[in-house]
Amino acid sequence: MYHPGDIIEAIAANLRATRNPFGIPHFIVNRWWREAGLTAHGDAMLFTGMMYQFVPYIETSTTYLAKYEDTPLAAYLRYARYAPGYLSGLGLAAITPAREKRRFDRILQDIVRLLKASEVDFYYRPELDRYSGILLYDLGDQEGFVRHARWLANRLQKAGIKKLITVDPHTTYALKELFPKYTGVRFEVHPYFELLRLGGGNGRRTTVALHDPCFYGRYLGLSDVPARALADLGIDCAPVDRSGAYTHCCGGPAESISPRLAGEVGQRRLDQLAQTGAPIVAMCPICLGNLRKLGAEVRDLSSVMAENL
Amino acid sequence: MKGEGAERDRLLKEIAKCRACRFCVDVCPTYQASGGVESYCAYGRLQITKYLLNGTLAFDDALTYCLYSCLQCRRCEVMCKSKGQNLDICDILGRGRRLLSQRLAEEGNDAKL
Ligand code: SF4
Ligand code: SF4
Repeated sequence: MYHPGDIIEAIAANLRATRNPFGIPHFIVNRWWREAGLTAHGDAMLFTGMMYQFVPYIETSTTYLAKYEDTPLAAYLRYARYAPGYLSGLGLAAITPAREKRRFDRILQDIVRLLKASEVDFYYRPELDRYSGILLYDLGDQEGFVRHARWLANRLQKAGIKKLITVDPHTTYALKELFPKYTGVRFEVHPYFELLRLGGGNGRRTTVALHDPCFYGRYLGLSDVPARALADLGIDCAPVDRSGAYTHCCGGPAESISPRLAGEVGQRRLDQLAQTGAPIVAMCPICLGNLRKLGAEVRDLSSVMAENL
Repeated sequence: MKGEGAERDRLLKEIAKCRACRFCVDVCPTYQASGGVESYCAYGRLQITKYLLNGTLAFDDALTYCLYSCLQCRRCEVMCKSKGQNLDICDILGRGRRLLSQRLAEEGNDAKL
């Protein structure tokens, strides 16, 4: 196990210094949009919250954390807070494979394809698309979260943003539920699949095993919406043991405290999904990263839908 | 810290609503992954939080791990609510952690609640 105090402090220090939990400069993390042909004006702003972009970096850092868990070296994490944010972040950026970064960028590009195919009036402003701070909230550093959330809410408000399209459950929950509660600022928030209108598909019928993330299944009660969007494209969802309100966590949230526990919980979930015999599909970057790390082939909801357009 | 005592009392009151029915135990993914250790389920975590808050237990690494290894997945909560007990387990555990992280931030890993 890693000491939560060290993890919280390392993340909070990075967020304070760089507005990024890993201390990686924004222009390095957020590059996916450059060839996506997006406009800067429209009805709703696409807001990625950086979670998909972060996963390759989380993977790299947890590979190291897993290696040193329960060794005397684990204690060195507490010194990480003394390294200036960007310095440690650039190191992490350098050792994270470009192939992995491209893989996650492609998911966001697929979401853009789906929104365009559904004729959704949306725009993108990369300078306003920032991390929501949700990890700090999850780890119990409420003050750190509220400080960061206020900064972001102010920035969006000043730019006149009212409507946001989100791409992952954690950011969606942060913006929909936590921002109004802790910053007093309320945006109209829609996860992207709520806006899709993709009649027909390409005529092929397929079946997938869709993993409901806890934040859509329980926190936001949205499980049936992505299943309906898939059905519009002729994609069926195999019945998964434990789904909807009773869905089983992928283990990802334990990753920073104990990669071993995250792996054990994830393996149980993977077995439930694999029982269906259908290809496994996730719709949360944390689930995607944690289940893939266990060796399973897991695809993102958006990629499966884009392929069936 | 200001307001900490009041928050502690509020939390203890909420934890006291737990009727120890243990419906939340089996459904917890970390309980299952631990091979059935009750300190890694909602009921166990609520008890640990209670004993830390009222001073029965002294804070140590093993107990920190019990509290922080909770995935905040709310599986226990659905069960608790479906049985009519209605505890906001994740909120209670999250607030317990919050009191804890304030101490951790101020006093380092040897913090006492
Ligand atoms: S289900 Fe609710 S009331 Fe019953 S033991 Fe668990 S937390 Fe307590
Ligand atoms: S929220 Fe925590 S205690 Fe409840 S089921 Fe999930 S891991 Fe277990």
